[in-house]
Amino acid sequence: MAKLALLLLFALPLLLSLTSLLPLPCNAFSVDRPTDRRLLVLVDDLAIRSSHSRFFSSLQARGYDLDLRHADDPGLALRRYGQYLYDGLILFSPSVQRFGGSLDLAAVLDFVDAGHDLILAADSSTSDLIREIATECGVDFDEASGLDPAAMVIDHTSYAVSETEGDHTLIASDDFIKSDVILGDKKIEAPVLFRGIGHSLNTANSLVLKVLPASPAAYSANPLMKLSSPPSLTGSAISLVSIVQARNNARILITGSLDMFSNRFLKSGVQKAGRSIKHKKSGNEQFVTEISKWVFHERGHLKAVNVRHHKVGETNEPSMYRINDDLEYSVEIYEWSGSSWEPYVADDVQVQFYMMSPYVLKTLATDHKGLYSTSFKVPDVYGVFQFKVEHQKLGYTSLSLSKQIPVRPFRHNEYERFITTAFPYYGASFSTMVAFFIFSIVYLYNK
Amino acid sequence: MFRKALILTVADAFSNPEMIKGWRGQNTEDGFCGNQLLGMAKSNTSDAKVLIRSLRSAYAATPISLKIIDLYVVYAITTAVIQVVYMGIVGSFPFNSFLSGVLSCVGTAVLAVCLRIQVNKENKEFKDLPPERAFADFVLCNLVLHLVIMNFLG
Repeated sequence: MAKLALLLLFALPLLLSLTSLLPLPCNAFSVDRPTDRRLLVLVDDLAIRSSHSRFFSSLQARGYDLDLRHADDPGLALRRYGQYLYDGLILFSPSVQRFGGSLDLAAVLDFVDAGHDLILAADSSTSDLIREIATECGVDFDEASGLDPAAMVIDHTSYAVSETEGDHTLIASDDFIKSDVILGDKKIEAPVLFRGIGHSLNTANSLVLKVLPASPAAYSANPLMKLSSPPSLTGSAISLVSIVQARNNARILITGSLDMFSNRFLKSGVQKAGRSIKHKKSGNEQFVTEISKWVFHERGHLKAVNVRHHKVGETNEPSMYRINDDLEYSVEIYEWSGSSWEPYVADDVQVQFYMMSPYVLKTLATDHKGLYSTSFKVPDVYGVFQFKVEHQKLGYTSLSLSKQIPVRPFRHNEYERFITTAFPYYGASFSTMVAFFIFSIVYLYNK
Repeated sequence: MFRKALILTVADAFSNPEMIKGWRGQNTEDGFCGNQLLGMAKSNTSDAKVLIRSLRSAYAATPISLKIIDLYVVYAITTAVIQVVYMGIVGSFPFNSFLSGVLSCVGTAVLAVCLRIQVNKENKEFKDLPPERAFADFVLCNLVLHLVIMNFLG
């Protein structure tokens, strides 16, 4: 007995130290709390820790647990024993040729395929590895900069005014995507500073979209060289910042400028060329904060609960409807605000009563407390139907609900009887019977 | 079956030799050659009159039992026609009722015509079949028909 107590005494500190090593499960991404918690930040120069400290500290202030590592750290791993160690990945390592540890292109793509989020920032020294990750996400960084490593986005009309004339690679852009869910309710007043490489969107990819397109006068070239041939990327085909929301609701942010997250750009004042207003502070801080909120699911994440349907005047959900029944359908939809589930308010949520094609398509009415409901008549067609809600809206996670429900025809005893219109037919049928009876008698006894 | 019945009715009329003689005599008297167009039309009307008259007189010779059957068939067809006209006016809504109403009349008429073929003495095809047996078949078929009609009436 004493030996056992002694053993426990030794084992207890060991056990405690082991549990402290394991990440706490309550911090993880979950359906109830969809915001990411643990982020892995990869840098190719540890100086970024101090040069981009404002961005990192704003993330930490919002409750994120940052793990900042050098990109070729040999101990890098996104998953261990089949469990992901992180909920989001920030790649601030444009020049890395190979990641350290078990991390590679496939591991990053698997991470996104598992529903996790990614921020990727490049600059003019972007390596093939980073380009490949971007290509897999539907974004092609300017190819020319591969041959000519110094190619950057140049814009002679919407550059940021500075003391020296400069080469107009520091772009001030304020042509943001018009979406409150992606960039927040508050309008970004000051232009955003950008210095880096441009990218184009893969036209075959319908999920990627420009958040910050370049102006029509922009082009991509080496600012130090004379242009000998027309630039491959010009005008609004160039995207400065793009986002992707994958079909599994994983969110990706891709930008060609690592500098736009830096303290220098966040603090700097800005005056756009051709305008008299000189902003004390650039729009970068608001822009990167708001868009990182979107990427890490602090906004625009929807959930649907309590899907209910029943006949008008009843409360129980039937296992089957009859043709021409009147029914009521309701669903509750909430949006995650970063800390709690708030009612989602929209006037374009629709329900389909679907069998191969929608027989009924109705817009749901909302009570502004999250409840959406409508009522309609089951069509005069029987078969196996589905209630479908397919809600896809810019910036919001896609909502896809379907619930199967059979619809049966009238039973034999449910048809209407003694229809007034049919009385002549009844009369005719009975009169032929009577006629048959009379005929038989007359025929047999006519001798 | 209908066709056969019609042929037999006409055959009844032709079995009267007097009628055929009269009809021939009329025709030869007028003659088709050397007459004016008006006279030709006149002769056609009178031909039709003669034909109808001779058919009527021939039909008068038909046995009374066959005449009862004919009356029964006429009644059934009239009822069916009335129902079709009614459906044309009010629409086809209780379509099953309409079908059973019309089909009961049509079925009755068909069965009655079949009975008529079988009990007609002139018809040599069924000379081995006793009329009692034919009537029993007719009754059985009618029972089945009306059972179906009742089920389908709605």
